[in-house]
Amino acid sequence: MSRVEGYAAAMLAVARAEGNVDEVADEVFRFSRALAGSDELRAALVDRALPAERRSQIVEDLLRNRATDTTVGLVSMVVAAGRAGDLTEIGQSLVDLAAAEKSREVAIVRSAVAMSDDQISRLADALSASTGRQIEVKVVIDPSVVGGVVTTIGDTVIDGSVRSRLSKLREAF
Amino acid sequence: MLWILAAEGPNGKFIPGDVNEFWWGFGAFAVVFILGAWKLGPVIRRAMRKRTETVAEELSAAEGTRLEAEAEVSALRERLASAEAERERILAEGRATAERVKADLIAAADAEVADLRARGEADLAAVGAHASSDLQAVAAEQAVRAAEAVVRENLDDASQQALVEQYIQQLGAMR
Repeated sequence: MSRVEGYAAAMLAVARAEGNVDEVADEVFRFSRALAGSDELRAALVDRALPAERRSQIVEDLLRNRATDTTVGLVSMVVAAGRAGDLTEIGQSLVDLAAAEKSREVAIVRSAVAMSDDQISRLADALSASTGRQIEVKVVIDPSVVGGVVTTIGDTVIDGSVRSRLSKLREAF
Repeated sequence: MLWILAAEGPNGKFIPGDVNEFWWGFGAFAVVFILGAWKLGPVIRRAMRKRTETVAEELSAAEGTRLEAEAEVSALRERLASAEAERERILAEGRATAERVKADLIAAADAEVADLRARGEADLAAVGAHASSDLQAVAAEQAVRAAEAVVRENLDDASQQALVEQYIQQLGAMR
């Protein structure tokens, strides 16, 4: 088991003990994506020159009233341990483990705009039907896709983004 | 003149006035002469012979030295002639080498010029093709960016939602 998997498994065990696995996994995943998208936040949290208490305080300030206490505690623990640089992978691993517990796979869906719960549900159904597996959708708002959706399930990418169409147009020249 | 002097002498002859004095003087001279010839003759002859031998030896040595000098001169002349021949040979060889090097250099320069010309032509062709390719790429990039700008400009929320719906429908149709 790698370090990332170890942290993810530990966080899953804590969430399971608290009885809110899905919620914690989702919140950790969202925070990890936000961390991946913000160089400034990542630089602050991986900076070992900052005291661990200060880095944990940043996490608590960001997640207060936006996440469960379990999530705040777990993310603070990872950041205080100096593993903020691994948090993106830990978040991904955590949702994979949480989905696997329910015999599901996680689909990372990147969209330029927020999707409604209905759209997410129908997308999950469509993905489950097309792959023959139970799919749990995690949506990431990513303006770089320009428009449309890009879905990643493991090594499989289903690209329906405007970005990819523009890329094909560039290659066609 | 001598006869005048003799006539003025004591007895009108060339001899002294007293003849006995003449004979005593003659006898004494003869004795001295004989004694001198008897005692000094061998010494003088030995000295003369030694001197002759010394001169002969010196002449012989001088002759040997002369012969050696002549031999040395001859050897020097031979060496000079040999050096002259060597000089001529080296000069000829140098001229030949210079000619060969000159020919090689000219050939290498010609080859270099030909190579440079060929490379220059190839570079020109490549630059032309590259410039054309770059121009095409720049034009494509500009066109795509313009298209992206237009798309972003026209992608309102409804269009975004329509694209999401279209994606979901296409996925649903894949089953």
